[in-house]
Amino acid sequence: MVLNPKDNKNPMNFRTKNFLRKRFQDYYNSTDLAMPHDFIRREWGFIFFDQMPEVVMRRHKAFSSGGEAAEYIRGMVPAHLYHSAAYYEYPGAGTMKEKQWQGADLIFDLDADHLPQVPRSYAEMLDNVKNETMKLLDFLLDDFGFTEDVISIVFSGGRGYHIHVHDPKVLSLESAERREIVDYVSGTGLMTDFLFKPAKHKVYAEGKFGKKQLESSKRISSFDDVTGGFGWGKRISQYIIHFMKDISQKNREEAVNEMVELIRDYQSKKVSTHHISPDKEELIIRMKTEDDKMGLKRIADAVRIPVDDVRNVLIKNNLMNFKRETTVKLNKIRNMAQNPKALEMIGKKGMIDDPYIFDAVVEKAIENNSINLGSAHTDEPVTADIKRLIRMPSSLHGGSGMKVVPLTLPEFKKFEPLNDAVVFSSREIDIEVISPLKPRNSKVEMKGKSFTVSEGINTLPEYAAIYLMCRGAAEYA
Amino acid sequence: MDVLDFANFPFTNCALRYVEGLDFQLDELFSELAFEGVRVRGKERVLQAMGDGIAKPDISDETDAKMELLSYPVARILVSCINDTFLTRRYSLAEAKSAHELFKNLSLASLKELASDFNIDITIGEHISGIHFTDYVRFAVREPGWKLINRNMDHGTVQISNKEFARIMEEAARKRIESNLPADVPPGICTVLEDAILEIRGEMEARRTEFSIDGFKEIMPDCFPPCVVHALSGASSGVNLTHTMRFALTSFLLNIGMNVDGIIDLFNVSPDFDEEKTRYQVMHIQGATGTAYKSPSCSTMLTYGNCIGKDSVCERISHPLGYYSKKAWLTGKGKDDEIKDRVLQDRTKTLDKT
Ligand code: SF4
Repeated sequence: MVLNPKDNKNPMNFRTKNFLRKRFQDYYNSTDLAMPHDFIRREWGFIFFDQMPEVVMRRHKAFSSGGEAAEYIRGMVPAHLYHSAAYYEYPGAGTMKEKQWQGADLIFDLDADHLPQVPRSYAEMLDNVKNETMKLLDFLLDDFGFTEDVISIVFSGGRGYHIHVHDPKVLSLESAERREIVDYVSGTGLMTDFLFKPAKHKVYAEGKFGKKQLESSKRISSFDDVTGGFGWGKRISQYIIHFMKDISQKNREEAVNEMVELIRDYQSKKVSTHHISPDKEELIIRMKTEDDKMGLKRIADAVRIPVDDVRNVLIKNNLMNFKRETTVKLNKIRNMAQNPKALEMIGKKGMIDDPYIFDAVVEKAIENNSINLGSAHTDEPVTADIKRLIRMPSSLHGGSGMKVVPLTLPEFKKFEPLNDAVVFSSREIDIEVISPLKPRNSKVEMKGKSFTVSEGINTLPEYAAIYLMCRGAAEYA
Repeated sequence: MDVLDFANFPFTNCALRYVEGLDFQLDELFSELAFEGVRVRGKERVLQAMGDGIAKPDISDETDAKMELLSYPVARILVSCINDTFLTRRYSLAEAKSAHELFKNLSLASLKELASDFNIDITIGEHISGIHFTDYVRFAVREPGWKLINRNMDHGTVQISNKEFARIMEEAARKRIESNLPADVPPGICTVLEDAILEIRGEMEARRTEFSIDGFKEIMPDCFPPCVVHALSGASSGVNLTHTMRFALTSFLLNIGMNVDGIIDLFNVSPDFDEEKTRYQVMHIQGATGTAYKSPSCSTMLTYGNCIGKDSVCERISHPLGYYSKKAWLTGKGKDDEIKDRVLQDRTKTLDKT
């Protein structure tokens, strides 16, 4: 994490610390520090400039009044300020047990680090994470039904956003229960078997030999009583429609390639070939590589295993040619995309008449709609940690000098972090950029301006200078 | 609900208030001859909890109902005097299970009343009910089909069938009963109940051998499934495992017969190692009388992102313990059946635990 205080290993000299501390103090003196909801029952934690770049968190602090808290903050001027998401009977007690946990806000941490995209700039990174936050808000408002007044959105001052939900109903949820919420929004454990049910109405395909019933039309179950569906089912049906329209507009070759890739990915994840002996597998591979034209049936007869197994082996070994299959599917999709009735069936009724076409798309829809809240494999997401400390809204982030900005939903939509979270002046000051200068620190974009710096003395507006000093890339000159 | 219902659902707040309103002192329950039947039934509840489950008697009149109702506090006091984690858990589960049978036959109105006794926010319909997701996740079974993401949820309301609602009530009851145990027992009462306590302890002793998993005396690390190997290498290099993985790893190792100290040593390298806490956790998973929770299945592992490094043997099994015995068999280390018998047989109680 670039803006994590822990990564900022550059020493910060005494003068720089003093300067930053002074400027942070000016900020805290000039703002009326809005206290978080029920702050008396929260634990507080601070990291001070003195010890930086060492990260020493002083925690187990409690305040009994807003005045006391403000006085402490203005007097001590921490580089980083945190308070607990949790409420305690004795927030100032030294151990978790003695504190006596009484509940906690529901917190989501959206961090650019968790996103799969690789951004080209800080600005782009913040855009990506803002979109991700938007997606999460949709879950919170529609699926979970939280009202806007219990949700606060906070720009973290660094690489993302925090969402605090303080609906009384969620406060007492325990860690494992919160984990279920995390799994819900991150698409973890979603099984399509539970998403669909067999459709009530039967679907027929007109063919050479008259009508034939298609076996497996499915219906997204959340469409049962509600036109347009809700929840994951709705997201998936919308994605399918989006996909159909999108791929219909591409030129043929591009479209076929995209579909082939999609189907190959999907199939190779699904097939299992473990019950087929290695000799047979090898034989199949040899036959196919020697004669690409050889059909599945002929190979199956020769090796004496079912056609499906041959198919699976070929898929696993990337020897399956999906082109023909794909072209057929693509034609169907294009026809449907042109047919308002067909689109309505999917979008309004949740009917998926020919699921085989869409299996791979459904998979993609899940991936696309899932929220990235950190790797499920390695760390416990913040949401499930009911004792976590979180940055205090309206404080300053000591790793960027930017403000941790609390936002309402309408404010969030218009929010531009690199402008709206900048609090320091544009008075010009000198800083010494120290070596080695990391490429990502060589350019600063803030307030709609762009500054390129090089090692040595640079003159910059104070806000940009403070940003680089907080990052550990420069000293006060 | 009336006293007949209270007899069936003695753990509700309404039942508690009713008992408090009766005109007698708690110690009379343990001294008066008139309550001998109640005391016997109280002991029976605990004994049945260890066996095939608590059977509900036929109740025809108010006197029967009162006796049955009063035997509940007696049972709770017995369990509290003994104060053994495993017994407490087993007893709470049995009480909840026996109530579950009766939930199914309740009228919608009584169900609704019961739900509100537990502060559960629910709209009950003929077939499908809508429950607030916060109540849902509190009491849902830890199975893929019960995962919130696999349910229909709209604006905070999760759809459940009425059968599922009964299951949710069971879990709510279990949690409530267990969380109120052990209860504060007025001094002297445990002594009065000594005979009954001895009898229960004797039964626990007998069950201990029946339930315990002797498992493998010899641990075969090269037969561990990939997920376990991964977690072990994490644990031994000091990485903090997630909750669910810690549970999975610990229960797996216990199931195959590793002892508590061995497991605690394994965790000894974590940066935040706390021997007391770890011992407590491991012992908890083991259960006080040696009956370990069964380790989670592959599908549960997958759900929590703990299925890591799946290999070809994994394709043929559905449980990490199955992997262990299959691998042992494949490498000629043991007879498949014998091992399966010892490990997989479901004499371990799978409690809803993640
Ligand atoms: S399939 Fe089962 S045994 Fe294999 S790694 Fe996954 S969880 Fe472990």
